[in-house]
Amino acid sequence: MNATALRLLRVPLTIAAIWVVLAAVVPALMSKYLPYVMRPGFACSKTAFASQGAEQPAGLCAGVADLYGIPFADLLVDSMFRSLALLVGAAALALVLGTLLGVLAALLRRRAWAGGGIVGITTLLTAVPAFFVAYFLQIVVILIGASAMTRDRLLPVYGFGYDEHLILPLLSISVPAIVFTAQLTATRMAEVLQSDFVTAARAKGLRTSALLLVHVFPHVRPVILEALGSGLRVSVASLPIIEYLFLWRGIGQIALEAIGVHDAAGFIFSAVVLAAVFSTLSAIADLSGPRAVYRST
Amino acid sequence: MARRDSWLFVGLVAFFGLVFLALFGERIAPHEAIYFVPEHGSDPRPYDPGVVFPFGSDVLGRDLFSVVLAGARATLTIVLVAGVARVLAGILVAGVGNWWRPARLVTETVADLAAAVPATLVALLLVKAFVNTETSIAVVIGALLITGWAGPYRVIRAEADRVAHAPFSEGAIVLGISRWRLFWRHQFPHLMPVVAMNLSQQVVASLVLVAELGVLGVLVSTVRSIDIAESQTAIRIGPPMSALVPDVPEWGAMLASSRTVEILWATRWVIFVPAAGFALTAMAIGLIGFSLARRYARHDLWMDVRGASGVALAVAAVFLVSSVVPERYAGAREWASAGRAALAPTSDLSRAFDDAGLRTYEVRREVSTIARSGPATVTIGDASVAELFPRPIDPAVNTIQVQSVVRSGTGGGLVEAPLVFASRGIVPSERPALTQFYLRRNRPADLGAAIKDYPDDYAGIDVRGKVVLLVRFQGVTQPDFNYAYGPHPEDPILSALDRGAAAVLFVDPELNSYNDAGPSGGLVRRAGNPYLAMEQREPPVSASGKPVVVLDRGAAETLLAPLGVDLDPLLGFDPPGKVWERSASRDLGVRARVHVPLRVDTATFRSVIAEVPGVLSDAGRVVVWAERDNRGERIAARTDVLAALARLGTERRAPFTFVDFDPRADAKAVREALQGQRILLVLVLEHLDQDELRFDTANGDLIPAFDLYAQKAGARYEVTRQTATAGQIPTPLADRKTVAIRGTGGPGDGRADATALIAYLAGRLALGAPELGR
Repeated sequence: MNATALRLLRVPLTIAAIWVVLAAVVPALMSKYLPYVMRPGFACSKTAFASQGAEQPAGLCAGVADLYGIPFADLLVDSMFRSLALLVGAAALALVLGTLLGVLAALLRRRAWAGGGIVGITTLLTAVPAFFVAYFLQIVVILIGASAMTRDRLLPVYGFGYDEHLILPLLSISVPAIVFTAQLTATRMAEVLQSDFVTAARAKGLRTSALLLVHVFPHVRPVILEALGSGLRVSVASLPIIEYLFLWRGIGQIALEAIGVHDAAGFIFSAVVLAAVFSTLSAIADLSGPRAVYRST
Repeated sequence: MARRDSWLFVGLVAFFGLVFLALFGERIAPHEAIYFVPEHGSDPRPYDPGVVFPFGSDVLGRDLFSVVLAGARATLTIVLVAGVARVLAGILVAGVGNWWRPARLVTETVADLAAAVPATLVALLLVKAFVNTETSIAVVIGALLITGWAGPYRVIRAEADRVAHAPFSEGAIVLGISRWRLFWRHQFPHLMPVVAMNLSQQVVASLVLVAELGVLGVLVSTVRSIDIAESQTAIRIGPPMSALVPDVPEWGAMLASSRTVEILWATRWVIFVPAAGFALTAMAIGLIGFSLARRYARHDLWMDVRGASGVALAVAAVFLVSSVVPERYAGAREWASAGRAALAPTSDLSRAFDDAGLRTYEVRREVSTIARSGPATVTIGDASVAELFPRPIDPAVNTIQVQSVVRSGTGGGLVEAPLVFASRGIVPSERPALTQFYLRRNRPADLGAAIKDYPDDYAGIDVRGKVVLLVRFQGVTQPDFNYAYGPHPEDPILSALDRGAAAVLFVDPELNSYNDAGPSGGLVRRAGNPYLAMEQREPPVSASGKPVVVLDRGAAETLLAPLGVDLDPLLGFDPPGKVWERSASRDLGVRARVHVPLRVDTATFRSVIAEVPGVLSDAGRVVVWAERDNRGERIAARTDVLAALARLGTERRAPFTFVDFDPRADAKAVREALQGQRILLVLVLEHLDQDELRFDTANGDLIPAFDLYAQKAGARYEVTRQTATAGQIPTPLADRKTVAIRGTGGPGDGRADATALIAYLAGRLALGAPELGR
């Protein structure tokens, strides 16, 4: 059995182990605090149970399914698809925008920026957490709407929908992935551009586009995959808070609200799904090539 | 240093900036975090930037910029310690894995697990489960550590692997160098850039996680729920009146109070200012990490550590700065210690006021009370019974045989008049049967229905101007083992008086078994004395009136046996279906003498108001209100505090007004006497004979202030968690901000702490602190 297969085998093992650990620990932890409903204006009131019929006692949320009045399985499947939409969108944005930005940064690099200039700036950018971006975008959209003195806004600032509702959450969640991809691509690209075969190709008078596409890009490609894996891991980590801020009701928000209403099963399921995505991305990042982040420093 | 590294310089500046902020942020802030502006014209809270404060206010009306600066210490402490702990844990686990290869399998697996679970969820769960009053910061750091050690571990392990197989390592091993020396001297310097980068990343990650917890509304410490509505003149619709204010003020919590999307427009600045704090800090930390990584990529750490004079110089500089940035109102601490020193046992408060040179005046109030001056007696012929005088408190069974009822409408005096027996005073027409509508299950049966065929006890007699003898009607047993209970004793007594009786003798066979304090258990169940309750409900208003005396069975037989009145058939419950041919009422043909001696006591209650002289008349005053006990005796602990403050106040011209209040007089006269003054604050001293002080106030904006005063004055105190509602605390002067200072905890002595606290408050006021002067 080779190393790749071993690495891939570790993913389901990790997930199973997480499941076991959470199942053992979470109910005990939940018994240590009182249930609460995180979001104001969204208590388990009588109206929340309107669709459930009379047998459900009012004012009591036994689980996240009660919060929304949707059967447990439907809720989880639906929210998984919602989260998936965000992650796939973020991956696409990171691939396209991140690679472009990275290449651009590497090409624009000048002597004055020598050393870790680009790395420094992108490091700073990765330091801006996704939910700040979310808040910032929400406020900007609200401010623009307010200046026009109309009730309707440029974009919806929260809520779910596979339409313009997607724009703000997608932007917020993909910023770390984009920056991360750009950073790794730029670093790797700069390394490749300094190698002897590029100098030789240049000396022979190859056009820049041909040089990049034929000689440089194949060297950069594995790094992009790695960067995507690492960047998306950051996105997955910020998924709960982003979904919570935009009321997206994805798997992350379900997990947060399950903590509030003592729904151990809902929490464990959501957390395991997120962990599964995370481990898979880790495996992809590990398998796609050597890490290159710290080479240039 | 051959060439100055500009990145290093930037990193150093950022580092010392953060250290300075953590140490002195609170002091350089334009306002203290306890300074609230509850209202400002018609501007809605949170105030927009420039309206009250340049950066706007939070939902409670505090300066956002100041709160951010004040919260820097807690925030930076949490994230720095958590970041360092994460990296140290990563290094440790990586070291274990590298030292002994078989352990690698375990460390890798556990790191995979720890890395894969989303940090936000785990941290939220841990903080929710474990945060309580004592351990908040430690728990948060622990939660940050558990969720974040795997990242540094993976990076450091990878780098350590790389270094372990580097040619220089292999060369060193060949040369026979010890493992420890190999690591410490040769490998560790190569790990420095990675560790430095990782450290800054982990600190930033901790910062983000703390902010996320805040956004989720999970405050990392115990909170106070502060409501400032009582401090407002008008109540407006808008953002919340109350907000949670955490004990450890950190930036995440500031995001919590502004998190709902629905009011995002109103609270946009409330988010922006702490968010800017987060972002700037994150950037500064990133810069530090980056500059460190750059420096030690080519430079050995040990060279800098040996030449550590620069660091020492910088530390010295920071402490030098602390003398430039003084503590706010530091002088008030000296007031507090002066107040503590001025405390001395004081026996005569008036003398102490005079000695201190206060301007005192008395507010008098005359109050009349009506009291028994002797035993009530009833004499019929030769037989006589008398009440126990003075009446024992909580008498045993069979002690009370005679009891007078002195209340509004009845009264005292001597009545000698013909005695008339009115049986049980039953008048069926006055108590009609209830309609079925009012009858419920599990209720006593209806008395009206049970007595509808009874004769009218007042029919054949004239009671006007006579002494009426009544027997208590217990009730009627019902066929279904239920009871129709007789009327409350008050009814027949008052009914007889209404009919013109000059006095009432009431025979209650249970009189000797009643309990003063109300129904009680024990071996013998005793009902509460209904006559005492009658007196309490309507206290007497005059010393003369119609006397009412209650007799038990023994006393009644002593009086009535010579007359041949047989009470036996009338006592106890009537059997079901009992038919009374005619009433037992009749004129007894003798005279009875009923005497209930009462007297009027007139007492003058003096409350003393003492003012510190020489204070400008328009300067606001602080009223220190000390109540005496119920008998008008001064309470030693409160007296001592007042006297100490009086001495301190005159010495330093503190704007105190002391009120030594007698609770038997009402506060109205005092209120009128103080009417002309501008009163900033009323401090009500309550029992101070306990270990810690506790502050209760309905004015939410004073809660953080008093906790701060107590802390600065060195007083032991309990953190106030909630705004009291106006009814829960004494408000002797209505419409003034009032704080009740109480003792709590175990028995102890709160005098010195209370004095120091109030002295500190006065000191701040004298130094121009703005939060009280509004």
